[in-house]
Amino acid sequence: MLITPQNPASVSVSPARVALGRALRHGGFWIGGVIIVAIILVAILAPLLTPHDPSVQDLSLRYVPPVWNEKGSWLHPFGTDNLGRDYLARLMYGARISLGIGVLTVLISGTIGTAMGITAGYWGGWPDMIINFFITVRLTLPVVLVALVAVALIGSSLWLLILVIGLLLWDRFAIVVRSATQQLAQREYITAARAIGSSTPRILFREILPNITGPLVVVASIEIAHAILLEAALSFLGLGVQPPDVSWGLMVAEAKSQLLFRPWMIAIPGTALVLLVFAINLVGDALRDVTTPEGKA
Amino acid sequence: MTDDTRILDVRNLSVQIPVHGATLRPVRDVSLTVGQGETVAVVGESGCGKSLTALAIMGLLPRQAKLGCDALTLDGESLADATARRLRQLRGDRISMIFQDPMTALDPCYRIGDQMCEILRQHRKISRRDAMTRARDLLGKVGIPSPQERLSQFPHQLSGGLRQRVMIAMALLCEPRLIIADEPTTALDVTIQAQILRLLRDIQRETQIGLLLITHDLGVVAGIADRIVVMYGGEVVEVGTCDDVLSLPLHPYTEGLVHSIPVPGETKQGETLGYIPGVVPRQVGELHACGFVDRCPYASDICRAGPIAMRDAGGGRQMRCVLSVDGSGRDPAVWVMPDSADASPEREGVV
Repeated sequence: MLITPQNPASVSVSPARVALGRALRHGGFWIGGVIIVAIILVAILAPLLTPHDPSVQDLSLRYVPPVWNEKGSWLHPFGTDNLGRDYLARLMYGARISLGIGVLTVLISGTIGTAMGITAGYWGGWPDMIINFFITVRLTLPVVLVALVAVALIGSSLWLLILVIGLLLWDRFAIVVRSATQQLAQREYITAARAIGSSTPRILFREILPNITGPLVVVASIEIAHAILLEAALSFLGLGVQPPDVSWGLMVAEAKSQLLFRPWMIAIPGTALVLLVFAINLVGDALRDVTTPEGKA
Repeated sequence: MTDDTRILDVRNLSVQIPVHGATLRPVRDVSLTVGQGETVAVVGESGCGKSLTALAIMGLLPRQAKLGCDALTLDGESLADATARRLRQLRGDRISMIFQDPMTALDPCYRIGDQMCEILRQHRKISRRDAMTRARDLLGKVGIPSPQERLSQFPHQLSGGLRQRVMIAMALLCEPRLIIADEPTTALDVTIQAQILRLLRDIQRETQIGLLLITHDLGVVAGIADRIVVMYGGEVVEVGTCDDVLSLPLHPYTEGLVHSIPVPGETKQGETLGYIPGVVPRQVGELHACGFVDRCPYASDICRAGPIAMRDAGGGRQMRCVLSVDGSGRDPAVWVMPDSADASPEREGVV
């Protein structure tokens, strides 16, 4: 019999809590988490943090160098761009678009991929074959190329961009959820749920879905980074975010002609992108570390 | 037994599974009944179709498997003809199941109390508070100390024995007519096994439910079952009361099983226990001989000529064997083999 602690209720922590507790002792989770939270805060609080409007031009102050350059000033800490817009303000407001695209696309692709994966994994048989076919077809398509064609054909707007990326990045969700569901469907507690009279939707949403949250969160974090990079790539090619909206990819694109003369103009948004993607991957790795060894009997 | 005290009536239940062109027939024409307040044990070695029989009764067969039967009724209501919706209503309410491995039969994501409430609220109009009270009462009834605290715990915080007690409490929640226990003690320590069996027996006596106990362990059966149904190769080979079957097994397979149980005080140290050579044949296609013929020490030409029919052996007993019904002509020594002989029984298949 279990060795009863003095107050058993005080040790009743849910598996999610256990995972969170482990995450809080994980170095990568902290480093990545702090960076992400900082970027999110900056994006939200941008109007309070900078007096400049990211789209207001001042042609008398074009190409002001950043503050660490001898000609720089604290008025424009990161300098200004070719139209005299404040670079720091553009960076802060650009974070909004980059983050927003990352989260929204993953909501779309996550829903599609999870639905497909659960269907394939739970039912098996011909639904599995059909969905596997779609996954394979999707995997043969180069994402950037398809996104390029779609945006070029339909035209580019922010919402269309989100939709296109969202409709492209569901593959990893589908694959991971499918295999996780296959494993779960064999578990006795799924049979037990049927034995107490649970309906199929109930089993899918109340038994399967909560038990695949671990892998789902991990894939979601990696796919957010993926989506942000894809947006940057499309914006760099001129098919992503359109002015007057700002995104980090667009800033890199606009600065590419200045690569040899004012390298900081590419380095600043580039560093921000690298930092964000790196931080998201750190957190994703940490979440994978803390959810996989979970002793879920 | 009269018909109106029968809770479960299964007649000629068969399960067929198509596999790569062939048809597996893991359950063939199984008939059994469970009366009110009766414990019926289904006994047989691994792969003889016990668990599939249980799943077939619950309507939980794998999708590929096909079910056939002359009758499958619970309290007179046909389960074979019931709609999926009606089956869902019955499961967990009138008929419930206890699974083999309590470590995997509870969802790790939910607290014990929530899992129990879910069953009650699915089948009864009951407030969450009342459901929790009932869950707590039942946890206490199955002998779980400090049930209130257990309600808020997760399955991983409970030991195997406690979890199996929780499973039993869950099976009892809606006061079912029939409980099917599929090897309820196999995954537990021997000491806990005895406790769980005693608990099952006490609860069954108290509530007068029908209990269908599925096990491969004759030792488990002895203390708890009223009647025994012995299965071999997907068929029922012997039916009788617990005492009759254990004291005078009629079918050679049952005889082999009984002789392979060590008896405290009688089995001497160093003595070789009896065993049945060979393994259960694969159940493909129709039988063209007695299913047990390859492993039977008494096998004769009649046994190889064709399948053996079930026949009445008197005293409410039935057997699927051509040997005499009074136990004459048997020799327990045939089960005790020299250590060297047949040390690695080859896999024999009747295809």
